[in-house]
Amino acid sequence: MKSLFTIVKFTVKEYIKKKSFIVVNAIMVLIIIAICNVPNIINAFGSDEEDQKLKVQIVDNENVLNASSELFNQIGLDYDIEYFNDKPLDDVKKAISDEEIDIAISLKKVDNTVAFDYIVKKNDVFSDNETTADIFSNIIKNVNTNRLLLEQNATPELIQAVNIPITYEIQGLEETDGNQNFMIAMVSSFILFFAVYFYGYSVSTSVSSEKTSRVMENLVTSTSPTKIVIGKTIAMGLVGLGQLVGLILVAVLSYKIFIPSDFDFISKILSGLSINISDVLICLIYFILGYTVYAFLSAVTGATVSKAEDVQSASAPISLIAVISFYLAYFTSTMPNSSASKFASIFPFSSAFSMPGRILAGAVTGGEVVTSIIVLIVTAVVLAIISIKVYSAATLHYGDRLKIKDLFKLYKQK
Amino acid sequence: MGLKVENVHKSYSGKEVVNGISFELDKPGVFGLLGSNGAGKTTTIRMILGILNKDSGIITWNGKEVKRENVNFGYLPEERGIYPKTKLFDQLMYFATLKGMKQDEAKKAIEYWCKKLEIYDYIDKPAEQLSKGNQQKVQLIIAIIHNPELLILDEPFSGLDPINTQIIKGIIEELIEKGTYIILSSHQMGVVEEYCRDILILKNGKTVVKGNLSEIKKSYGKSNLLLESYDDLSSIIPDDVELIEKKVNSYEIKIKNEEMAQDILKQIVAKGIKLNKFEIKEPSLHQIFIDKVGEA
Repeated sequence: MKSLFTIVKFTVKEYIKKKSFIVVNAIMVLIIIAICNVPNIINAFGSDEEDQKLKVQIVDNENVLNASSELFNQIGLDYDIEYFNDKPLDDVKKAISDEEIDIAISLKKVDNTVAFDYIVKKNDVFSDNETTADIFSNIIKNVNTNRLLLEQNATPELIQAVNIPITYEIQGLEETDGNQNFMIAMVSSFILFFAVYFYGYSVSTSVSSEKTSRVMENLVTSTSPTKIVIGKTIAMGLVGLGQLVGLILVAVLSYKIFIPSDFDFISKILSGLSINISDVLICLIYFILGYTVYAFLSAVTGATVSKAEDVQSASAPISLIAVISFYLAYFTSTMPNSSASKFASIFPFSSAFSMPGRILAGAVTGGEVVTSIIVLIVTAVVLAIISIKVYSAATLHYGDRLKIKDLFKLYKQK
Repeated sequence: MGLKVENVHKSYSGKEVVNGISFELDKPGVFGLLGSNGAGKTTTIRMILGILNKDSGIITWNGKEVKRENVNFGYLPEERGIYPKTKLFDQLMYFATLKGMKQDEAKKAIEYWCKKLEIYDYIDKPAEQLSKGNQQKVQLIIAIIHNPELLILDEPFSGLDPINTQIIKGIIEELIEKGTYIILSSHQMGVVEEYCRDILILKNGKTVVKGNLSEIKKSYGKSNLLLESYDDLSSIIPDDVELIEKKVNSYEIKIKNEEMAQDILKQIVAKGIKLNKFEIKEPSLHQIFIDKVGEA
């Protein structure tokens, strides 16, 4: 037990001291902080635009509305509006050409109703002229309504009541939780795939580097191969878990510090979900078991090669299993109640990617969770036994990369 | 008591690499395990250490099956391997703790051996910054730090300069005095002759010579004649004689009997050649090895 702890401690220490680990984490932290600052960046640009409100001149030479600049600016708050009764239209057009103003509106009477020409420098498919014109149509309609009410001697209270915006609430008749849960399932699938596969692969590189530097012979004569494999698996799992928790903490802190309170995109996503401690624990169990399965497979891979550059090609079969399992989980997350999705949640190589998302989506029964965890545990134990046996024989093999049939031979010899 | 290896066999893919090897280390001292490349030495060592399963045979230490739990052993593998990026102290501490030492005890031992092997100044440096010879010393410390009862040294002197060879010889002498059982596998026959009481020579997995080194040499008889002179000796060396070794000022030849040596001496005297050395001697281990194993 003491030597197991020694291996775990040494492996963790060696790994977190690596420059690549430090650099990758620093980059991840910077990316998280940068993402959390996107709304601030948008707002920063947005506020610049606010400072430069669109300049609009309304020309009412026919005196259709008999209004004032003040009245327009009270209603059209987002624009800098000037109202004229006696300005030649050519002057206004020149102001637009010279980019002194952005929009000109020329009011006129058509069939005894108010109409206007909306004049801008360019009217192409990329402009939002129609939207802005619609907004001005409403502003002008409001000003006109106020004018008509005043003409009819309406009380200021009535005019105020007419101008109160009508509030509304959108109600969807069909449940929308599915979409939110689908996103959560996809995100959790992706995070778990990344964590499980990446740290499993790290076990492989850790074992192969000990073979490459020929430390292995010293190591297997100093302690048992069982302790080495289990110690390395635990160590990389702890590093992975620590990194994951650390990055999640950075994300939560950055979210709290940098995301403005009015930017509620994430809270909107999370509002339909009730994530409790037991869900988090189950996700943790799936991470640990899923990782264990891939880590043991990777330990064997690391032991079969003699050169660091061979690790990637030796890991190809595991990568294939992992990627297929991930896509199986990913695509079935859109239909959490399908039989393909149920299979993905039980199949030991994909259940860690599939099940947490389905649990968060509330699409599984307790029985399914228990069955899936039991299958994962049994697979992990069987793989541990096989990998320790093959590892202890393969670690002392140098030369060409061992093929699967060679591994079977070694397994029998041990 | 000690180490007993009885009729051990091991095959890979139908090819027998160790074929019925037997030997015994019944008292502390150095045992020489010799053989050409691929003779089965490393496989034998790995089976003794229990990191490779034997097909058949018995290997015991003090009457018990050899297992990590039963034997306090140390091993210096032929292939040198340490963690290149890890500080010397950290990796020595790692291996010492893995071998069951307590931190304080390990710290003292690290200090003792690093000073003894003259690498204490590098204790806080990553191993990759050390010279090859110094890295080898680190490996030796890993093998002996925990005071093993049984120590296996596979080519401990390869790549070492004469000064470092001398330092490591000193360590071997210290371990012999402490009562350590040592198996030495080396191609440096001079060192084997210097330290080994008993030897075993392997050829293609089979034992070709085994026993007490002095007795093995005695059994060959005094079959060699060594002549040393600053004068030219070539004219007195018979054409049909087997030449063992020729150096600038000396010849070592194989003689059929003592009379042949006397005849050569008479010729030397007759020709007035001044001799520095005339010695009738037993064959060297080097010669026995070549005789038994074939071309060196």
